[in-house]
Amino acid sequence: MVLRNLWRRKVRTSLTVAGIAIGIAVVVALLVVAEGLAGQINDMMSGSGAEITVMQAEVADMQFSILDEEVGRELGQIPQVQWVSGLLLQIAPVEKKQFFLLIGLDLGSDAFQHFRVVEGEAPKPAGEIMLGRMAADFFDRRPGDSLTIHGQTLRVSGIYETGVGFEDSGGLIPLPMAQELFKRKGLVSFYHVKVLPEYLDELDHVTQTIKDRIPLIQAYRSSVFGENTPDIQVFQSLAGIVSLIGLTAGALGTMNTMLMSVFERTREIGTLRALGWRKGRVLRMVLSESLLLCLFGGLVGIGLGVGLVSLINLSPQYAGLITVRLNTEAFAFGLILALLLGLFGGLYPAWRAMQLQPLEALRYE
Amino acid sequence: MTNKEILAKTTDLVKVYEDKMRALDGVNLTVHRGEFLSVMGPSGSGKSTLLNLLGALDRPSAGDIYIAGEALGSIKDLNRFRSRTVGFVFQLHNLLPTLTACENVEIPMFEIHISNRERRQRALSLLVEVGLADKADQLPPRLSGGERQRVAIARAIANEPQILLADEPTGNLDSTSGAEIMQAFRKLNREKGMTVLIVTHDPSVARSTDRIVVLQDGRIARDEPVGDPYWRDLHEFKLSGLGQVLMEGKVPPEIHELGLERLLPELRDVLANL
Repeated sequence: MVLRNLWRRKVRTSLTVAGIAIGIAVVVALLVVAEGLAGQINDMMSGSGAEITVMQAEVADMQFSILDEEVGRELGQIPQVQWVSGLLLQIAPVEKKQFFLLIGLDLGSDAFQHFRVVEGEAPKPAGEIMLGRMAADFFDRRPGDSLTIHGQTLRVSGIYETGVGFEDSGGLIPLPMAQELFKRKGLVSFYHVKVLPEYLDELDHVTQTIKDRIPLIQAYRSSVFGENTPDIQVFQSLAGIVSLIGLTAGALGTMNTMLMSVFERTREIGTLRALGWRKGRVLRMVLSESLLLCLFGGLVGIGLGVGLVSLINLSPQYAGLITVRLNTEAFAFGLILALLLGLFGGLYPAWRAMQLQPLEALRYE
Repeated sequence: MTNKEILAKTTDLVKVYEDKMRALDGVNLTVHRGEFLSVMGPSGSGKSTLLNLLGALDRPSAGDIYIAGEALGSIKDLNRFRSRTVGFVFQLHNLLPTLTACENVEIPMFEIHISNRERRQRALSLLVEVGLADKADQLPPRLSGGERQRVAIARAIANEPQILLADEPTGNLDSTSGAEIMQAFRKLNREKGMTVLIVTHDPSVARSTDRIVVLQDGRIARDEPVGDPYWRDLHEFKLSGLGQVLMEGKVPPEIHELGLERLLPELRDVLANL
């Protein structure tokens, strides 16, 4: 009965489902993207083998994080720390028209083990760069070719793979060269901190020790670093605002549809009440319709959202940057949101239906 | 058919609407269990108001209503009363267009907490009773006016109410379908002992019941039995399909078969003067 009541106005129902679906699709897509981005950052930081990542405190963007090499020395003096490796990250212009992630790393550090050389060799200290597999394919470069980065022509020494989209679509140069190229002498963006095996059970304690001992820095476990970066937090806030606007529109659309439906069926509701249907049953009927409407919207929206992210993933420029995973949490969240839309959108129309007096409703023209 | 047990009773029933219109002005009506009666009167006489009050769709301004020994004013759960004690048949059938005939009959049974299977079974057997066994899965728009009204009757008796209230049940039907509906009510009354109260402005419909209550300006102007069952049956015959054919001046084949052509002028004369 609920399904047939909805299907009575096919166009209106379909349009409402489409409206809800778009709202939910945006939410799901933003969630998946946010998680994908955070996951990439976490993989990048964890991939070095370091359990803790340190960055500058209170910066608006990861890229603006600047740490003095003195911080690295202080980190190295902490008893629980096995090794420390600095990392300079920059979004660098390539061939004057594209941008990619340039990683400056101490090639003698343990963190470099993360970069598996699959073609050619590691870059030499001067004038060489190693490209990630995806970047090499995108820019069509092989070992021996040259590439202009930040106005400087570098020779491609080799190609690496890490399995992390951000890294594989970027390039790697020795840390001193990166510091010179970007005029950051003696500075890094982050520090990878490897903890001695015997202190692995006390990671939170070690993290706190680092924060206590060194001022103006922020330290996180590498596995959750992404979620704590200002970039992801700003993205999540924006995503939240966009979602809220979309969902409010969705709820209003649902309410409008259900109100129209109740008005159109005033006589029918009057008949049901005259035949003994309780107010609660009428309320349940209208709410069920609203919930079902939004459930359809939610399911379609989740599919659309995943499709949207997959499309982004398919584009060569962004391929591999966002990993679409079967993110059950995002799907569940999308469905719960859809049902909440149904509940809020349907509550007032259901209440209106419930308040209809049988006799007046029967006389309704 | 009528026995002495009082099923419904109104005492000094008054209904004044917000616009001060006095729809009912002291109605005292007694309905016995098993009666088949009609309430007749011109538009605005208060007949639909009386029906709505009896069915607890509206509350009186003054006076009391007793149904099955219970004062309506003291009933707390009017939904239960509407779903089990009374059955409604509306002028416009009021079937839900998206539900099949069978599902429409099931509607009142949602309130009596029986299994889906039992609900379906009961609805099907009710459709058999009203002669619509083969239309159970049809949607209302695919049914004729008379068939829709018969579905509405089946729906009205789904929870075995004590009294069936029908508001102009033939008002939107042609005379043949109207006669079928009246026959359906008569059958329920005769075979199940169902108390049936019909509101109508059509004297010929009223005359096919056993008792006519005439309302005038919110008061009972007349309350009398229809009279000799001979005349009542003759009236039902007039409303039947055969009667209609005769009234149209045609000669039904049954008349030829029985060799009764010579009686035709007199029969038509009697029917025309009913």
